[in-house]
Amino acid sequence: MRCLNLAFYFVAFALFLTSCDEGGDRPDSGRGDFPRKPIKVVVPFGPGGDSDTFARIMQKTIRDHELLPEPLVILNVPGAGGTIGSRRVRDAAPDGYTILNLHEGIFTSKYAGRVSYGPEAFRPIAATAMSNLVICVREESPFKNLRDLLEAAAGKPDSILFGMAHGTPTHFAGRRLEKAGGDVQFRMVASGGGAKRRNDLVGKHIDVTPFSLAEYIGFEEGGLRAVAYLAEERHPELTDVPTARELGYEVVMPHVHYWWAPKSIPDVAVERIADVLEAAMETKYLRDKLAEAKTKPLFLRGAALEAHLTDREGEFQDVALVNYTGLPDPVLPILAIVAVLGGAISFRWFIGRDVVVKTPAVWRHGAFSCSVLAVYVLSMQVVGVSYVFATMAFIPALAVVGGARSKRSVATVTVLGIALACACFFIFTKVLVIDLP
Amino acid sequence: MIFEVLSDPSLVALVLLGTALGITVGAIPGLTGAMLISLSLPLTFSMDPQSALAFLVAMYVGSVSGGLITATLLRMPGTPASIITTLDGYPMAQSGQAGRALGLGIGASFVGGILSWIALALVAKPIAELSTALGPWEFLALVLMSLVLVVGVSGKSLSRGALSCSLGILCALPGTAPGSGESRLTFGFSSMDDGFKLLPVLIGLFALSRVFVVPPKSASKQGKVEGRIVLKLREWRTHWLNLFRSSAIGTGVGILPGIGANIGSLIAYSTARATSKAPEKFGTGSEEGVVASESANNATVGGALVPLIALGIPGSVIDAILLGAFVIHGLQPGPMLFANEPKIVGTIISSYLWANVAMVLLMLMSARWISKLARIKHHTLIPIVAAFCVLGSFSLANRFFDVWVMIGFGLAGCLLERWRIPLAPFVIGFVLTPLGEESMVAALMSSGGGWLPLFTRPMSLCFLVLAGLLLFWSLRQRRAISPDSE
Repeated sequence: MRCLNLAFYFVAFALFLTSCDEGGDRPDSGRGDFPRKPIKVVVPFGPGGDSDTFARIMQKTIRDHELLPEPLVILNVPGAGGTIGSRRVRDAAPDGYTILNLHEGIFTSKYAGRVSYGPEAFRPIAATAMSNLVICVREESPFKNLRDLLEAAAGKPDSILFGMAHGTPTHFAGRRLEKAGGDVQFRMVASGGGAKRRNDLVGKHIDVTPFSLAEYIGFEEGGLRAVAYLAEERHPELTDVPTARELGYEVVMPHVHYWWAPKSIPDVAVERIADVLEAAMETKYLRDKLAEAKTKPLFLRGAALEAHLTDREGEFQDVALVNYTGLPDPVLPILAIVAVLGGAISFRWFIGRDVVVKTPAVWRHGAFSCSVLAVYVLSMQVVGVSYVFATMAFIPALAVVGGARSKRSVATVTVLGIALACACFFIFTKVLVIDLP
Repeated sequence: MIFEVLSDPSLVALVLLGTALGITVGAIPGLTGAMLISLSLPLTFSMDPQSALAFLVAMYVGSVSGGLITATLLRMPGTPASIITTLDGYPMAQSGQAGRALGLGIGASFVGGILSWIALALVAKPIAELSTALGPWEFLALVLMSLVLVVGVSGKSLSRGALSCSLGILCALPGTAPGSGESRLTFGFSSMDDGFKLLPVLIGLFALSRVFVVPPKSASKQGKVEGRIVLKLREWRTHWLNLFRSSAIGTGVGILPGIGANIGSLIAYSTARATSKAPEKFGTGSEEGVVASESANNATVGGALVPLIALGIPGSVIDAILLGAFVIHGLQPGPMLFANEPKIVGTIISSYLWANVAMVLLMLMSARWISKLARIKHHTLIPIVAAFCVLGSFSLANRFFDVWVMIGFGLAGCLLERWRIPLAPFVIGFVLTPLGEESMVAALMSSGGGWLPLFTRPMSLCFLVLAGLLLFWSLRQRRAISPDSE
């Protein structure tokens, strides 16, 4: 009986937990009272990255200055260069409670052919904070400035190794420099992310590569030298680095954090979120944070934002990425190896030359536990049962499949399941901010 | 490198907690360190990277050590790393020397851990600094070497190892092709644009697969600890040489990419037998056997951390999970890690040291009752493990796709094990393929399409030759001893 009592309290507690969460989920009754529940900001990259850090600083600013009655909730949906997260927001309900924080990745993934949609699939809310790419060479490199570099490339095409990450702004920067230098030709090398490119640059495996401003500041001491800043004007703190424009090459590559919403979001919500972001950009805290990162406190909305986005789309539209064609496709060879080895092993087994180890039949147990698991996941994914209840049922069910027979052990597992479901729900939604069903 | 952990009480607490959890899970037959660490990784998402890595490294140390108690007392190795310990530990326990066997095992684990910590602290930074000399060609050669090596040493049959490895490579191919940015093998599903993520794959293979197999019988008997566990320094007199040799072997095996604790303890054990004055006692309760196996398996942990933090190449299957932790916290292992995040590197190395200290204290205090853990009913543990599998893989990117991937790989892990196809080459193939392919793409782009530099650049040639030699050596060893597969 004590067990049952305990179970009752847990269920009551679980109901309380889930009801707390849905308390704010009423339909909007009128204008002006947006938001009525937390706004989910999808960051389509992992925690700790540049986008995530910026979104979290923004979240903290808004919370500490009480700019919104409801909190922003950061949801990391990383993968495939940001397209997994952007697709999720594009397809989300356009109610203003799911928005996207994504930089120029929104252009690059379209123009690199990764996805078929670009900024036109979203409603832009605001642009916040700007820094630009820095073109770097090795410290002891013979190229004194960007002109040297582009003239050398013009004199001997396909000889200077330009490090980049495929389909990212670094790749587009390379193509735009080639174009600006009068259709010169670098040899493009897909070296990868910032730390990898820095390594390859210092180790003489590439000759030149762009870094984001944040990366450049991090690597400054490490044996590399900036030859150009791809901005409209020189950076106030890096006054000895000329812009490409000063040298006569019209290449500007900013890095801006944009905020996007699903296309048909109500105007009220757009205005409200833009107001809040604008107010946050004015706070001393955010200004100081941006100054630390040497980032410009740009803020754009409305018509200015539209014009800016059209400009930027041009940056990416004008250059076509040329894919390097001489690469082997690993899929078929690997499939062939798998088929040959698998065939050989099954053949040996078939003709009975392989030693067969006798194990008890496991299929029944495996099939049962797998079905219980599948029902559990489907009930949350498709039916929409809340995590707490699904887990409460799942744990005893699997224990019974696993061989719990006596009343006592089933009761123990039931109580355990209820406790675990509540504890996990609390920790994951409140502490770790995971979007559990 | 030494005191970073001690400067922060919360880190001390995490190291203690991690070690204790590791020992507990390591001691329970059927649960492994890889399972514990892959399931704990999602919990560390919100921690700062230092705490996360200190916690995970402490679990790693604990889980490699905990298995020795149940291996000795009940002949049920809690983790694969302790399989060799059962050979001599259990006979010793049977003849009334259980306390002594545990004392030797725990002490040897500690010495192995400390010696490999010294190697880690001394070697990691120079290797990382050297690594700017490693360009795409060298990384390609290094990946090839790792794959050859892990195929060569895992499992009883070369063809099964190779099949496992190529399956791992195949599973890493869906997603975005690094050279062209085009999607491949996604079959039109946009969720597949990023392929299979490391974490759901590992959780599936190592944790969920346990849910689908028929659970091993829980121990009915209870091993009793007879005799003193804490040994006097004098009693170690005859073991010093063996300790140093086995730790050195363990560290070396650990540094080699892809192969972990069970192989290390196997090689140290057979070396100890070959050089022993009383080789006939091995397998019937030889103290030397326990010492060799336990010092070597702990030493592999420190060794395996070297290529992980210096080059980003996992030294063992658990390091593949730690690599996932680096990636999730936005850290790129390699020389820049030492330059930009000296605090994180220092914390990792120092937490390894203090986890070993914590391990020794916790094990000596709790050895008497830890063997009772083997009596916990599996039908209470398994549902909890399964619930964490689902939660962990969902929380990676807040999507159910990863949960289904995890379930799929759980089934695959089950089937692979049933067909006696080793899992280690699969995991290492899966983890190293992106690095290998990106390096290949960058290398071919920089050479304009020619493969020649792979053989003409001294360092990449060196790695290839080394790969050949190691393969040859492991094939010869395969004849001499038959390794237990994992």
